[in-house]
Amino acid sequence: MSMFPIATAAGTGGAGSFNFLSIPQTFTHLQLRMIARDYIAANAVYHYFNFDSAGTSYSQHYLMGDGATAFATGASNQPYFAMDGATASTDLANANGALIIDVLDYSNTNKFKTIRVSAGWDLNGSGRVWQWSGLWRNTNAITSWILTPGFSTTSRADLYGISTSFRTGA
Amino acid sequence: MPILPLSGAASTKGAYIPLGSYTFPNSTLTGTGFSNIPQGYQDLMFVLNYSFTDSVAPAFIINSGGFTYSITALAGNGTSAYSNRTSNYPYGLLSQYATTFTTATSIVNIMNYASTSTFKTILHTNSFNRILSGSTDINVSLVQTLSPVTSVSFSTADGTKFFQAGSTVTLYGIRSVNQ
Amino acid sequence: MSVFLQPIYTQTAPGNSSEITFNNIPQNFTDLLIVVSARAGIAALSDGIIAKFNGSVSNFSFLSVEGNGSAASSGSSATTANIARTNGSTATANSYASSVIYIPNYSRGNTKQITVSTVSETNATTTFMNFYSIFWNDRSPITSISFPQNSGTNYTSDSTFTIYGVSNIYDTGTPLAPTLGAVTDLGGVASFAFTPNDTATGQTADYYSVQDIAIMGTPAYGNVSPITFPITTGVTYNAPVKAVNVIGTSTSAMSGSLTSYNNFASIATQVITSNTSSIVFRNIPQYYSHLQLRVYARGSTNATSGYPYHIYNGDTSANYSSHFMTGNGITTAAAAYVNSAQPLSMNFPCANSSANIFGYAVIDIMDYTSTNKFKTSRIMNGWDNNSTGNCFVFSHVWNSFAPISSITLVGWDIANFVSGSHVALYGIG
Repeated sequence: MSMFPIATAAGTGGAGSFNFLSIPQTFTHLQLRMIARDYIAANAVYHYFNFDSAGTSYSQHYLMGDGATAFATGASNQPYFAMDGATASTDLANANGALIIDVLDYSNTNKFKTIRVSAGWDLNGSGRVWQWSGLWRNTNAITSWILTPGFSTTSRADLYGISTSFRTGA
Repeated sequence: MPILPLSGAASTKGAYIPLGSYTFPNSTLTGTGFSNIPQGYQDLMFVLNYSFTDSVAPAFIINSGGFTYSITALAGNGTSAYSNRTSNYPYGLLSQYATTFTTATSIVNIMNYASTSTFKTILHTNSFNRILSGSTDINVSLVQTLSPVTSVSFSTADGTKFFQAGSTVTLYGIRSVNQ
Repeated sequence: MSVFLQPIYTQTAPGNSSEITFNNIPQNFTDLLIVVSARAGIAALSDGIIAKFNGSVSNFSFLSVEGNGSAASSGSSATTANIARTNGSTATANSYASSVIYIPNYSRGNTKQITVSTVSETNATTTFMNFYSIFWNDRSPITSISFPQNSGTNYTSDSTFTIYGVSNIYDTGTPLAPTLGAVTDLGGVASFAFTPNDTATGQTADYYSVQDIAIMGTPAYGNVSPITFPITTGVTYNAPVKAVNVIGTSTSAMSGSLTSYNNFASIATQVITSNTSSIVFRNIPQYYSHLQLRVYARGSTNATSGYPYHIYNGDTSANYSSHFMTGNGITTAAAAYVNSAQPLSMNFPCANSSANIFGYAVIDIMDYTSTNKFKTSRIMNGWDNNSTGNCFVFSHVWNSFAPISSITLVGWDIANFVSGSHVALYGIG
């Protein structure tokens, strides 16, 4: 038992989303691996769990380098995670952003869900690289994961489940 | 370096498949790498635990080169956090900061390596620490080629430095569903 | 090894511990990957977890790049390292820090260069995230990893720690069958010794297991020999040792019929041959239900009698209480030692008593491995001098949820246990 692919999604070139529904509850952690180019002139990757996208249940912070400056900032009480890991439709052709998102203990009903993200894009003269953190203040097990606003046909996302061990090693 | 026989993906075998592994036996001229990389996976990942015989920035080359590489980095050296960029480079940099006589670790994710419709975006980290000197950095690189990645070799900025004996590199394929 | 990311161990914090330890880390992987989801009782938004390998926090240094929600910075230390973060008690309720730790070539004779990504997210302006480069200037293979919380506060229950083995070789075949060794009735458990036969490249076992072929039930697992398998008195078992990887399973010879009528097993006995101020039992097996100590002793001090005491896990703090009542054939008495570091728990004759007179104590410790109970023991004790004597009943409690892994008998009032004393430790299944 280790890390197993659960599902994959590909961009359509228009508005829409990557929908990971009915996520199995048989793993312990989740990892999402994504390459992304927005279908519009934006760098957005918006995402949310269990169709919760209208309240204030999310917070996020990042540490970022843009090739000249390192800085950090964040936001609280957001309706969803709003990250900038994708390249824009108007950026250097054929270039995508990349994101790797980890969610530990996604099915634990005693914990809010923390995400840890490595992300970045480089356009040979400009670029961003991030480490993000995010919190979904909900103890429900994660059963769905939606990523928007819509991505190019060369974009894709793969969801993985990671198991754990029966031995304690104490 | 030999690539292990493709054992065939199966639902019981997990997502990460070791493809090849190499331990540098002696001071080895840079340029050693993996060739004939199977194309049946979604991403590639390699872990390089290495040291050089001299102070030099580590580098890599895709498919024997000929492409434009660029890198954006976020880094800390124990005193300051900073960000740098190198553009229009003839090879990829695992880090823009020279590894100085100590073991370093690079973990490199080449996303969508087999695609023929996208350039190759690489998320990678590099860290070396020789007790208060060193660098820890998070990087994104772009390799401007639409060709699938079929080989990766490891080098330095000047191509003349040596990997020290005991340096290791392992290549993994990360498969998606139905792979 | 079978797969890249083989889960080796997982621990969930019990809620009363500030340090989580993984021992006996298998040495046959290439790298280790560790994920931590942690929260602790420290009154802060976030705190650190200290790097500790093979029982030591020495020879570590780190560099980091850090964000705190409004600024980026970099830090370092030449003497210690934080290996991950925990959320603290003032962070958003139910939120836990998330960390991934990668240790390449952990089992080789090289120094270790470790990378860490750790975030401590909370619904506030200030949060913390780091990317660490940790250098362990030690060439020893890593055989144990501990996670001591920086401030010494307990991890919240639901904090999880998982170690994965990363292999650079993919198994292509079923592991070779192990060779079964001695199967020993330990009273409540059976010990299955075996010899692995992992000599063929690509055919190594990820783990071993023991399970009765007819009864089935819950298997016992292990990575090394022997594997201890719980058995019920009067039930007949017949089981092999299995070697398992993701390709398949191979099976050793069967143990043959094993029926135990013994639920009371000797763990260890210490015989005193010269004055000894303390007697210690370490590495107590954790697979019994209860313990019993049977103590036959005399003290060296110049008095008629005196009181030793016993403590657990090397805890010398005032974390105990004891009470006793006694009768000497004429009068009765009672006493209490509350919140004490010397919880008197026995009474033995000493130098001014008639020669060759020893006392006897039976100490029963129930549920010694429970992580939900303080540890209570009942002591029946006495000695008789033909003209004098005392009988005692003691109660004793250790205010800790930790499983008992060691017991120390301290002479204290009697100064030393003299030659001829002996102490026997038993496990009760």
